[in-house]
Amino acid sequence: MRNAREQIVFIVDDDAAVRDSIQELVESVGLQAEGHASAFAFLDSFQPQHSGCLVLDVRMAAMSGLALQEQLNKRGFKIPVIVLTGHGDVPMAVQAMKAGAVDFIQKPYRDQALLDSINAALVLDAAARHSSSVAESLKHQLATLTEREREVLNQTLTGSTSKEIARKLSVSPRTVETHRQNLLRKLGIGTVKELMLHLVPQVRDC
Amino acid sequence: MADKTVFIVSEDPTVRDSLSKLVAAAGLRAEALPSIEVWFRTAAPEFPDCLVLDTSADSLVGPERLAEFARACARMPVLVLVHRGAVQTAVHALKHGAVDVMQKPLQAEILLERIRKVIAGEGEEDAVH
Repeated sequence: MRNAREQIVFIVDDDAAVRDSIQELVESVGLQAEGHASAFAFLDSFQPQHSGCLVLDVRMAAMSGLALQEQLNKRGFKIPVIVLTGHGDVPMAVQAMKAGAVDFIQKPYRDQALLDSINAALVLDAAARHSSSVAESLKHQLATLTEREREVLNQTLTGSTSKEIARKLSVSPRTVETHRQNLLRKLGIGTVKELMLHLVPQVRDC
Repeated sequence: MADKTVFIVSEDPTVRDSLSKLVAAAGLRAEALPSIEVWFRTAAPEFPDCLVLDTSADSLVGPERLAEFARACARMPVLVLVHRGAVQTAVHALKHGAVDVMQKPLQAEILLERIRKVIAGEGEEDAVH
């Protein structure tokens, strides 16, 4: 099995010669590559937890690159896509970019230009995965809070003091303090100040 | 919509002139400038409505020009016009924040329609031209 952290450059092109040459290029700089001869073959084997990027040929017989892009969007797969084409025109480039492609490169391409684009896409994917895993783990931690703790957290985030929260919830300030200690412990955060500094935007999103 | 200003940027005075006339005839205010750099120096209101950039082969080439373009895109919707086949320019424009790219030659009515939608905040729709 592959290490989940290892990034893979997926290459989807029905021209074996092009596929192989891109694969060679990618591997020559020490990156992992995986070639597929069709959009269907790629979709069959792709697992969204794989980090990486996709180098995609536009013109393929069964399912075009743009149609595959649409499929990926529909399935919520966020892998960055670099569209490669031998016969690009402005409307096609606009369509691919608007569908979320990170780049649109015409053949013949310069090796370095393609590698630069691939590297940028890999960085992008790693960053997106990191921020979504931070949000994910916070979501899990938030789920462990009791209803009261959640209430205290929400009030705290709006800037209310212990006294104000106590009054609103009809409990003693001391009880609010206890809830607050517990929820900080559960979230793995040291102080209320830290909570405000780092988590306000993320908690609100969850 | 009559109080909205469309900034028209082209290094070609003929294009500046004809686009200005077109925009003015549609009841919008037009202000024409030779470059985005000049826009930043002289025009740049606090809340600009929209900018139409007519590109030549080297309009969006080089990190400085692209950074400036991206700064403009952060301020207002920027609609980019490219020559037929200028794929690289189109890609650069969209990568750096253009709201849309349209290929010349263009029918006046199609361009105006797009400008109106962009000003109305409907720039993100997936129209492809």
